[in-house]
Amino acid sequence: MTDLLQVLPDFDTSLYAHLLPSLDKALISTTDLIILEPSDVAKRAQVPAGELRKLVDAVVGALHWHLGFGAEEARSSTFLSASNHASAENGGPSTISTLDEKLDEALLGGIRPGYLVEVTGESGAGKTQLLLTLLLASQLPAPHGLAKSAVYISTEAPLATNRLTQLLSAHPLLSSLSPKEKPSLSRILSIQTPDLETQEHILRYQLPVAIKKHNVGLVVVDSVAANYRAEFEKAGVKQGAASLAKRGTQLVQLGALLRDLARTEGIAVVVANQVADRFSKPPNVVVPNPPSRTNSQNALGNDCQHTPQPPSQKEDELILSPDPLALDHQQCWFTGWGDIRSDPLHTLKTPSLGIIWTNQIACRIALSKRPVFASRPPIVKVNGEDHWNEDDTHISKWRRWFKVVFAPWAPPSEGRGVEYEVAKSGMRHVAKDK
Amino acid sequence: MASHNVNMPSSSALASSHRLPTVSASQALGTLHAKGSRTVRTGLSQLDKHLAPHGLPGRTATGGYMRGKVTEIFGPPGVGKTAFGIQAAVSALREGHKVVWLDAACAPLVPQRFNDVLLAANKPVLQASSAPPKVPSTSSMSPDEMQSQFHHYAPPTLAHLLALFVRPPSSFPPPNTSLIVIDSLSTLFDNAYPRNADDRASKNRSDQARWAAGRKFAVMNELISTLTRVAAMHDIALLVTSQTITRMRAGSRALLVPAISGAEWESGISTRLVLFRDWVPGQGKWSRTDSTRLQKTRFAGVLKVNGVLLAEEGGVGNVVPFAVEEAGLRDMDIAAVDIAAPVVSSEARPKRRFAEIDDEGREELDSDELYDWLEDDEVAAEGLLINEAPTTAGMGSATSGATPLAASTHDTESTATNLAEKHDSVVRPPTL
Repeated sequence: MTDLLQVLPDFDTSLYAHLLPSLDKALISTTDLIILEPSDVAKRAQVPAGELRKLVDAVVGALHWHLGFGAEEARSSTFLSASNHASAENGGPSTISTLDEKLDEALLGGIRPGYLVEVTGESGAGKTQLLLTLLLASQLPAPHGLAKSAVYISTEAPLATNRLTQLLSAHPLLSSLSPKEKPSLSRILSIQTPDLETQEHILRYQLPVAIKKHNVGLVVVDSVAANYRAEFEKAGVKQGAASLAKRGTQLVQLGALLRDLARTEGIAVVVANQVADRFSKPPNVVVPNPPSRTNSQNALGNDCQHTPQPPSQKEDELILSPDPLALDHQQCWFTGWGDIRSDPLHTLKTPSLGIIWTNQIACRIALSKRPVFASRPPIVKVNGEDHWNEDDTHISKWRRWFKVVFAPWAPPSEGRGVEYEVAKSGMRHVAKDK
Repeated sequence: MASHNVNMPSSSALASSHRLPTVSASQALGTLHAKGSRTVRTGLSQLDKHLAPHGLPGRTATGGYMRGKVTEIFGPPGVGKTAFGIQAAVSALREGHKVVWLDAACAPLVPQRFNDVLLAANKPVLQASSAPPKVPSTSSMSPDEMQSQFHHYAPPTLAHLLALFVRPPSSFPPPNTSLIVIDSLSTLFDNAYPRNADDRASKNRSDQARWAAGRKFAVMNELISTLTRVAAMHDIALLVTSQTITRMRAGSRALLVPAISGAEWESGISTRLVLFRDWVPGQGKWSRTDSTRLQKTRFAGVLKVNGVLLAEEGGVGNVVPFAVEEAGLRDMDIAAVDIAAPVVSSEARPKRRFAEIDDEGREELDSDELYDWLEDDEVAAEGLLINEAPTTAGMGSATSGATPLAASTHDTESTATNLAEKHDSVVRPPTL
């Protein structure tokens, strides 16, 4: 059976060992077993129908049991009430704090375990800083962390232990802890996965074991995009669409793997993702003919939204963009860049790996940065004469924002997000001057 | 209908029995009148109105997700699909019914978030000028009791889901269930049958490989027929959420389309909603509505309602604005006008003028793979496709065949573009 052990890892196949190889050869999947008539399957795979029926019944029974039927029936109906008790005891759901109160506020407490979270942004925006902070915070007891160890999987650079040590000594919260309470580097397992094959193997086989063995609460993957890009650059242009499709499949499988890990082990999985410049066509600015709106005939006879009216906009009426379901348009809201209309188009970024990857994640945090240009006088004195100032614009500093783009447990951030800066003591929100 | 407790035999005979229990017409009508509401409220009164079925003579029907039918909600990440599921579930619980939630989402349901909406619905609502009155609970259940009527399962794979619907255990669905939510179905389906352009290439030499490659659509069709059957047999509103993928159109303008699509799939879905975001003007434009709340406005487009198609691919149909708050979904007191699909009646349909075709020429690629255009033409000829958006196959092309269809699509899109530009210049807001 091609996928039986993936669907039901604990299924006892010993009783049906004589059927499985034939089913495998006929490429019968578990879904086929459930949907198709056993006699049809038996004919296709050339196995005895009676034996097959027994296998199907066993598989269906195992699936039901796996879902929670047949064991304690009441388990499914305690989903909502169980959480009440849990959070009441601990003073809130368990989260991993960012160790800054305003950033935590944006996340309604911090990163929650059980979810696949993405942190995306340009290089230099602060992704690594955030990830390092989380690696330390997860070791703290509630409310800041899960009191568990962490795993750091890197595709490029090794773990920045110097920076971790610096954070431990310079961060206001961390430095104030006693040596017993302080997080330590020894509780962070670090591994490098320089290519896709290693990454696949480690994530699928070694990570689950490590999680159980070392009581891990947080897994950080830095970064998810790197190996995919390298791989497909290698494949060459002629592979083109096929390799893109293959990449799509791999991303879906990776997403499913990480989500399953997060859910079944109760850990937080945080992946870093890179961004690329967005090249989007600006909307057309064509002077139009007067619109020829005809009377509407709403055949359903419901309240008319399209009442006949002159082209001028009525009060309290919102005109939608043309082609609202275009990717370019909608991605202004789910990428983290583009939802502020005044931002020039050339400054917009798009997280790598496209919408297929975005569909895999539960939460996206976008770290954006914008330069602040120093004001320079338009005319300078050169050798006693006035000249136009030819100097290039001078970037005096960068401003950075932390934005929750979407999260299941928290509302999206307003505007650009929470402004922050990165200092020796870690990530710190910028207090607004009154 | 629901009073029939159909015993589902676990033998394979079930898979072949697609027959619904038969009753006489007068009996059915009588049951219909005797029943309570046949819908599960969406939580947005504007949307309920759009989804209301034609009233039976002498009865006004309240709108909502139709029981006995399958409703699909799709949209880009983070737009609010789960929020709609939560709101529907709270509506059903407050009527005293049970709800089954099948959690396959990339973001498993957050219990606290659900409880926030459930408990908020019980509190008396301060009547702000634009807040619709919350529907009072018709049952006298306490929050605790309602919570125990909410059954949550987490099927890890499509096989688990199919085992639940095709070979249901005796306790599924629980009696007095009015709503089943599957959030999100596309995740389960994509994990089992990942998109792979390779299987269209004819590299599959062996018969088995070819058969296996064709299983995806066969399973999709089986899935939708199973879902519609279970919904109908148990008089349950089945709400399915789906993610989006991109489909390239000519000119590199990618369009977001539902992740699960196919002719049979589409016809099995009775009602389809798309959730999306759009620009909202800045301050100073609105008299009544609060501009901070306005910024959070999102949009729900009714693409198909109770079997009637309102818009084709890329269109958004009748649009209802809404906002997602801690207390749940909230109506917005504004009308959202979709100018991309100007409403045209069949008689007043303007003659297609080819000279007006935009240079941009946003042609749509032949969508034969996704939609059976010819099929739609035949249906339209019978007057069954009600044409709100001119981009539908509909009237004109039914007689004239496929080629003018492409041209008409150009033309209406160009008209739309022209309209858009005019209004775009009006509504572009000042910089924030």
